[in-house]
Amino acid sequence: MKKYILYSTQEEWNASNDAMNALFGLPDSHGNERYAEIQQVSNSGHSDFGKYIFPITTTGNFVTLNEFNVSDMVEFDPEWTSDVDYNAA
Amino acid sequence: MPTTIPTTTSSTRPGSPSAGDAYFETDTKNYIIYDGANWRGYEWDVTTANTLSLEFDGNDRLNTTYSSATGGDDFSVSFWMKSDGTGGTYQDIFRDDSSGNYGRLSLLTTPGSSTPFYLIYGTATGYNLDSTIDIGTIYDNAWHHIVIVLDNSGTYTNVKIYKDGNTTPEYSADARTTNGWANDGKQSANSQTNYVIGSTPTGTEYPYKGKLDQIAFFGSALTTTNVSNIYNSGNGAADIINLGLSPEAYYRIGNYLEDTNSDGSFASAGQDIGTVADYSGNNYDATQATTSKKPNYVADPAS
Repeated sequence: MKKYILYSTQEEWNASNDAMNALFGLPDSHGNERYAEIQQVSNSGHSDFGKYIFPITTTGNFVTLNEFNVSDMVEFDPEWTSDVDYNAA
Repeated sequence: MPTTIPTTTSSTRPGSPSAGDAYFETDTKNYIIYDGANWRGYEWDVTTANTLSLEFDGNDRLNTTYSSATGGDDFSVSFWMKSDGTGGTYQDIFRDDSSGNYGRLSLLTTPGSSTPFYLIYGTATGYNLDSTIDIGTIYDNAWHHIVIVLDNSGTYTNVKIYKDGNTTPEYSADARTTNGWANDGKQSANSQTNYVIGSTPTGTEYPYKGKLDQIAFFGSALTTTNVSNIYNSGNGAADIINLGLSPEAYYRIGNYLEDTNSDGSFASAGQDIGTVADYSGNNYDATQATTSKKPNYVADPAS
């Protein structure tokens, strides 16, 4: 399970991602290219619309849970992306 | 120092062997040993070989290099899934899509719905879909074997969905408006992009939360016998190839000596994926270069 931090600016997201890339030495020789991919809250009706979603890994080989402040973390919200883009014909 | 075992074939075994003679049989892939009276074959342990599955935590995805070269043919997908239904409203199990140009078949699910399967495939003029398919209980956090078969031998694409080895499909219908599909379009499109397992390739993501195992794509319509054999009374067929089937791509998950962890070592429980090998022989290996999106191996195989 992952936790998440919502950043208001892309610069904040980039700074955290750059720090995690440096922490894990990414890209490395095993095909691991980057820590995360940038994604925004795309549901215009959501109170966090437009914020940048940063994942916090809690298991596996790239755990970052201890690198961030727990009080900044939130759980996954399925309403961040609420609209399905499979369009009925 | 490795030992090279002499080779033979099942039809050219030595006529006068001595006890202890051993050969690798190139046609059957068996290791045979003569006990003084009979040839004894070593069959690799298909039960213990299947010790891992893949866990997707609701933000992961597996990027395959499998993109079918031909379209319009019959198509089947076999996989095992285990989910408690939590996670996002929409969750992709596998997706063949490039900016809405749907290919051979994609499966979106809506776990909170009583009709959670959402199938969509490309046609000659667009795509066809049914977003309200009910196949009974699947979000009970138990392993379920699912086989989806698209048969294009008739006027319309016939869709069947089998569950847990039952040779009576949970869903069986021609993909027509009279059966709840968006239109009567027959499957004809080539694959649009490399298949992604567990999420959406681009744009808005619909990540799956749960486990998957033994994912196989076939360029043919599997029969009820095939479905039953793969299910194998709930024990799972650890190696579909041994059933005489020829999947176009086959992700066994935790395939010993081929699947790797993210640090390059052999696949092991609790580790993020490195490479998930295509066991079909077609080399459509799967990876995930973004570390926060890597599924991880778990010691919970689907059998």
